[in-house]
Amino acid sequence: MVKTISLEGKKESSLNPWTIKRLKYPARVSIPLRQTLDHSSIPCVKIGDHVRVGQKIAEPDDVHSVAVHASLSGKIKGIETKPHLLFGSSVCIDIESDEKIEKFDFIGSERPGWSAFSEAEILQQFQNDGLVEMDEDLFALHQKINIIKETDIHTLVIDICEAEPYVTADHALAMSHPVEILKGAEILRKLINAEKVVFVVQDDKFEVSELLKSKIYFLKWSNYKVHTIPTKYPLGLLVPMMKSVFNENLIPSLISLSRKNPQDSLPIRQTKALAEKGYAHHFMATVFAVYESIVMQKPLYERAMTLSGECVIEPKNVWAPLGYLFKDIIKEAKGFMREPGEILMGGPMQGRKVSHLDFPVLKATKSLLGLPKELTQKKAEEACNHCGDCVDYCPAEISPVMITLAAEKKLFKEARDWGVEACIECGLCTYVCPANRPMANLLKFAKQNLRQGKKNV
Amino acid sequence: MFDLKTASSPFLHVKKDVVSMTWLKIMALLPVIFLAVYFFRFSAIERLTVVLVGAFLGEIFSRFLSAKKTNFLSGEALWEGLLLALLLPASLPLSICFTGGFLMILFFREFYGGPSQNITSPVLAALLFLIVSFPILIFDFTSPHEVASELHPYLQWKIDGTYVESLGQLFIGWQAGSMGTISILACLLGGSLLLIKKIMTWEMPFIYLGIYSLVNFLWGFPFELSLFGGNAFFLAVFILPMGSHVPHERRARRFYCIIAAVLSSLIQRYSFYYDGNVFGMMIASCLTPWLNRLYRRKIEEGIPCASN
Repeated sequence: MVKTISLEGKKESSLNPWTIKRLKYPARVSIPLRQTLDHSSIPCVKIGDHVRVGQKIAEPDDVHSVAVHASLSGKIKGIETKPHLLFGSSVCIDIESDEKIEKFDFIGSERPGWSAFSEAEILQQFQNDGLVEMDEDLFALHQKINIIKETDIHTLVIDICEAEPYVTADHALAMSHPVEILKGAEILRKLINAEKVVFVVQDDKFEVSELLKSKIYFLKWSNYKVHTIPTKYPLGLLVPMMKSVFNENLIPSLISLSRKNPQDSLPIRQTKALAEKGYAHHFMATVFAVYESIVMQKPLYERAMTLSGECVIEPKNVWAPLGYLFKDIIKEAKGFMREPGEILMGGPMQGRKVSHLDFPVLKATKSLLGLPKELTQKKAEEACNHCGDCVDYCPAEISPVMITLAAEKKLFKEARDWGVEACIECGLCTYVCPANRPMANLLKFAKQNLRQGKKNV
Repeated sequence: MFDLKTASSPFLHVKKDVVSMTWLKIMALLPVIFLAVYFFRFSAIERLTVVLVGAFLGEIFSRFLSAKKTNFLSGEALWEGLLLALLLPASLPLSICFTGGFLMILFFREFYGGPSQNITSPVLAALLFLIVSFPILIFDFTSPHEVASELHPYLQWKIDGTYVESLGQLFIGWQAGSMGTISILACLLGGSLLLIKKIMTWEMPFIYLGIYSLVNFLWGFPFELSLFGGNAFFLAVFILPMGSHVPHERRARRFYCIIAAVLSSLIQRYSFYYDGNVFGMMIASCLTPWLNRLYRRKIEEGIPCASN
């Protein structure tokens, strides 16, 4: 049984109303070419070229990377290396707006004969349209499908949980585009030959589950189900979700895969572990992007994201073009009403700190939050008081206290023996620790060192 | 470079911390202190003060030696000093009280690296040190006024197989014993606060007292005397479930309580001492590293684990 916590959702402010607003196009965007985990793309435009919205500006470098498209029409003003929020640095293409917002005519119109596409054509289209799994992991979708297709899949799981507070982009997307999401799911289901599709929704999205159920009923797709789970953290994360909904324990597979291929990142291991058990998992934003790419001929150059937090004057969900600078987006939400303690990309449990607002929107940017100091202020760290709360709450059923004590002494083999590879980085150990120890960071530190082959230092 | 302080999430935190927990634990001791002062009057105040002075001086001295900053506001020295004082008889010479408080912090806490770094409870270790060093004085219990018997009920039972206190007397605290442990009522009041504030769970004291009373009962010791006499209740509520000597995993904690209870009972039955709780808990706490490994969650299913 997974022990859970109740986090205050704080989702109402950005969900009122359930629409995703389109932002005013900015004067300039800076689009990073590194949009997948370990791979960058090669620019196919040069400075001074004129580009239109949706035009390819970078080609995939290898089978693991994806194409990148312009999110603004205008002139290429620069191609240079800039800081990247997730990967340190990346080559970015700067586009200055011509204020015309020129698009290709075919974008947004139904592709003739799309239903007759072969598997290879669909995967090629995914790569050409720059599709990735739209989570922080940035896993190229065609690569993920290739891994999934190595085994027989019986169930496709579509994740509409949004386990973290504040984040509501998927909620708004599901309310505004339910049929498109179902069609996207059907494309993926056929692609991986799954028998059934299960939408997993947290019960704070009651209207989403009802809407999807009604659409499924009218479409008469009997192999589609909607499963509701309680709004408790971390039930909405993949591993606890699989345990609570399907009674599947992924932890042994995650450890085994980690020992076979230490270089594999957590999303790759999770995909493989799921596939071994006959499941495939995608986030709802990815499913929508699949529909847009295959049916509506629209490459992935913008995404739905949430602007929220107590410090943001006007919380809302927006369509954010890639490369849109965070400072411009915040301006669109009428700025901050007071100085935020932390600005985060992603949710407060798993998200990343944004050190300055010159970073651009990525395919992984599902939210931008401005949280007040009183909420995020870290208290002084104390010595571990061995209360055992981290062990009680750990959804991966490992012993974070022993792992972190070993990691502090750089005893990485010891950390491995205590099962650090099973950590799913939910952050619950740090959340519950009364001694305010940086447990999640120490776990990541141990995993990072183990991936680099270090045992003890 | 991996920045351990600021690199990443989570950015939210539960609203409790070690310092506030320590002060809540101290608050939970207030009913016990109140009744100790009520029963033993000035002797209790004297001994509580002297042990605390010893503990504070021990902290100042050890922090001076290790060039660390002393922080009395953390409440650790106060908490441990109070626990030790309440486990001592009201007639113990003040010099021994001071020595106990001083050495508890210096030897049994700070020399291991500070709070929560020691392998067993500093209070238990200090008490054991005093028991071994001053075996006569430490068991010379002064009785509260209007007490039914001048002898500790456990000792009385060991001598002639009887005890004279009624259940009500045992529950309220009209029995011979150390200052804080005689009143089950006060321990229950303090324990309730710890339960309400989720600083401990009911499970560990319940298992310990249950098994201890049951095993005692099997060799003929009265069930009610096991529960309400001696210092079993005080130790089970205030020392057993909290501290670095407690295993992390829930099943390990249950096993730890069972081991401590059985050992306490056996020591009580077969040794020279008529109250085995301190010894049982002390030995069980030394087994904690082993218990942590024994109950390491079996997550590897078929994959040989390096250290197994």
